[in-house]
Amino acid sequence: MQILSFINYWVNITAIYSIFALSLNFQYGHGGLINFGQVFFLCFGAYTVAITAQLGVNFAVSIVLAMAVSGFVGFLMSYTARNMGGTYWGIATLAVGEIVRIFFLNENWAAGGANGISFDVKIPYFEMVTLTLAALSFGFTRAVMASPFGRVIKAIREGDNLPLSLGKDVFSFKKKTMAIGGIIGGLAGALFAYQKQFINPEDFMPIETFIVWAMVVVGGKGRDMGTLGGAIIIQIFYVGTRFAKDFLPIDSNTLAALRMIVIGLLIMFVMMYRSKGFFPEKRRLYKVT
Amino acid sequence: MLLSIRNAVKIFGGLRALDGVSLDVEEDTVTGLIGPNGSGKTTLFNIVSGFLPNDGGEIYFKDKRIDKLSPDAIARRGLIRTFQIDQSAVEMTVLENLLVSAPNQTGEKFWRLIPTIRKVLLEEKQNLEKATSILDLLGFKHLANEYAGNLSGGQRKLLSLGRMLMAGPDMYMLDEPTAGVNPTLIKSLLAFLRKEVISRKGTTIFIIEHNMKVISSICDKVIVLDSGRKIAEGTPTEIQKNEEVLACYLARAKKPR
Repeated sequence: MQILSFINYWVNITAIYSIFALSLNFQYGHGGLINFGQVFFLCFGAYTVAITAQLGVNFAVSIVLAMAVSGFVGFLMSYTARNMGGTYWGIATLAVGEIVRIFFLNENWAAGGANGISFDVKIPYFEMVTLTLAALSFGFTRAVMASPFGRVIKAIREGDNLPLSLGKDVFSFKKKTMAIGGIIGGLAGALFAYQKQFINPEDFMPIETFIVWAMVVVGGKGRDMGTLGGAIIIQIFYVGTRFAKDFLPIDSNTLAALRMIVIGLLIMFVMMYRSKGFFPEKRRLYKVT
Repeated sequence: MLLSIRNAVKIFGGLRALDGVSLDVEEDTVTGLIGPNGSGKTTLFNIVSGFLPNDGGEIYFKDKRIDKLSPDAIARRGLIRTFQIDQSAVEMTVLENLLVSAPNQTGEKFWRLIPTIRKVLLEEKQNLEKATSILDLLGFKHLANEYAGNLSGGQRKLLSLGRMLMAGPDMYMLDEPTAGVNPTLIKSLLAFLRKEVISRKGTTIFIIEHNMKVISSICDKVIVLDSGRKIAEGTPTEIQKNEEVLACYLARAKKPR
């Protein structure tokens, strides 16, 4: 029975992180926005759910609210991208991610501070819900990228000059890219909260951003299928290493530290030998007659 | 007058890159812009297309002032430029480079994708047809699904012309379309320009070029810049005889007195 509940946990967490990784892949892989504060979407999504669920709001409504809040945060965040390019903006987002976490940590009135916030609302058939929503997110990003809108954000990934010279309002596209990424990230955060039933600021350390970046980079940036693959691979490493203590003579503290080393090595391996990830981006082929 | 520049000034630190340049580009003509290196040609292009703010003067396009607009807003008014350094989206295919250039696409408005889906699909079909015909003109049909990053430098210059044709502007601003292109390809590029672009009615071209053969074969009028000032204006033959122009190209100091 224990193994069954473990598999159940693994499926849920992988589905949730797949959605989260899809949101980063949308922003970074497709749109070229280097967001090192991706975790704040998870954070806002999760806290929105926790707060509204405590107030007795229906789970479907709270998920939609989480997506809206997170999308709005992404939209606001994009304003800082107006005068900041690439990596500099990435550093700013890292800072914002930390500011958000430390805010929730220190402001007890907002959501319990360091003690976190727990609630008792469960989503029926949770595995089915997470898997379906992961599949829907995947289909959604694929559909968006097949549209003319997706084509423009892909062009923006390579620099602003060309799209600007062709009359595309680059800043407006970046705003939308951030908002859409935020909506998907907020969904991941909402499910994350429902999975745990308890959240505290510890859940939103910068390491979460690192892990989701690892998923996108290992899977293959710019390819949604690759992102799913990356999420599965990283989650196997991340969760699977818990079993290692049954076979190896190491205590669980060392193991937790070892886990990050293993993921770091995996990233290094990918960078050296498969720089485009395990599932590299594919071009869209058109039939030309 | 399609484009009219009045006393344009651009200052970089202590350098007056443009020092009160005034010029006009008439509709349906090809106007060349020449001058030695560092004379301010590309700076002029940059302030006209909105990529750099001007520090003085006014710019009018279709009788409306454009010098306070953003580059994309200027492009939407029908003034499209190319860059001296290639800006092709190298991670996209040749065909995608063309498709993304189509103006006013309904499908670019994200929040309206679903309600307008039929229109979007119809436009996509039309744009694909248009892009295919441009590929044909460029002789790129076999390269349609090739990454633009795999094209040679000369092919990318052709692709940038293809993107412009797709965008269908009222005025084309070409920044050294033949720089770094081999002589054979220059010929076909020129032939392409003449046949597919210049011959179309209502096509106005403003072109920066170093190659005098190119200038004399396509330009109706030539404007010469030197040290941020306009020093001459006239037909290619007049310009080639103009002493001041010759002097600015062949260092003034050596001119016998």
